[in-house]
Amino acid sequence: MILVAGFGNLLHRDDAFGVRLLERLQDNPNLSPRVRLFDAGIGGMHFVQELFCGYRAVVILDAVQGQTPGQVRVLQADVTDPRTLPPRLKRDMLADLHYAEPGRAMAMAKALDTLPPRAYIVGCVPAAIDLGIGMSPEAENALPIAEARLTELLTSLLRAEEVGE
Amino acid sequence: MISVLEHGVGAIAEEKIKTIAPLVEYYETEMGLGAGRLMLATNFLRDAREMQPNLTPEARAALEQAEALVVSTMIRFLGAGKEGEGCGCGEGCNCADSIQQQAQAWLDKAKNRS
Repeated sequence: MILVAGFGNLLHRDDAFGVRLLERLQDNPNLSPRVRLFDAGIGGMHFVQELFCGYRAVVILDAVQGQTPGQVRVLQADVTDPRTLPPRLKRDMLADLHYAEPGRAMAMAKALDTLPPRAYIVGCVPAAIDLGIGMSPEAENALPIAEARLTELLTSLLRAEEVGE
Repeated sequence: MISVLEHGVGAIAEEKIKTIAPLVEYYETEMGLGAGRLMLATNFLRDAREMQPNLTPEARAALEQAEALVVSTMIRFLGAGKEGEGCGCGEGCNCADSIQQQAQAWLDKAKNRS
């Protein structure tokens, strides 16, 4: 199984990108039953728990950093294992209380040995993340592009799963 | 002697916690049993508060109060740990400092909201 998790805050303009992209996928009748869609929103703890189910791969949908607003990016997640951090940083991570940031949630999953071997991020560089409802035209225009890139990625991950990679 | 965790509300709580056992164990290992469990509870309470933008003011206040109680109890646990009674992190432990900073940030946020 592959987990696709949408992160973001609907009240912060383009930060809603991951959740909006997930909604598009929910409407896709051709989606494989081996893909589970999960609306993490801003609730990282439930995402960490969901990973206890054991997945072969996880794809995070979110707003991502970058130079050009509206640019779609597909990244392999580089997740730090908190067990390798010096004590102070490790404690800060535990105390930060903010697993709604996918990197932290994945780091926690890694510490628990529940992070799937393949972890990707599909996202859009935001144009606006101030308080407000509704995404910018740049992010809206990026939705179909991101959906196409995500579909490609899922096809390749499903194929890898079939051949037992 | 019958354990209070095997009957009634204790047993119900233990059963519910089973689904998050790996998280509980991780926090316990890192911060000690009491403080670790309380830190984890603050994470869930924060999720509950932030995931529901349409909470009634009363429900929001109840969650914030629960969060404040947990943070305040956790600080007491960590205070005890600093004096060598409970944190259990060993050498290099800065749980108390980290939590104090985060607790202060949390209190500042709560103050700005009110």
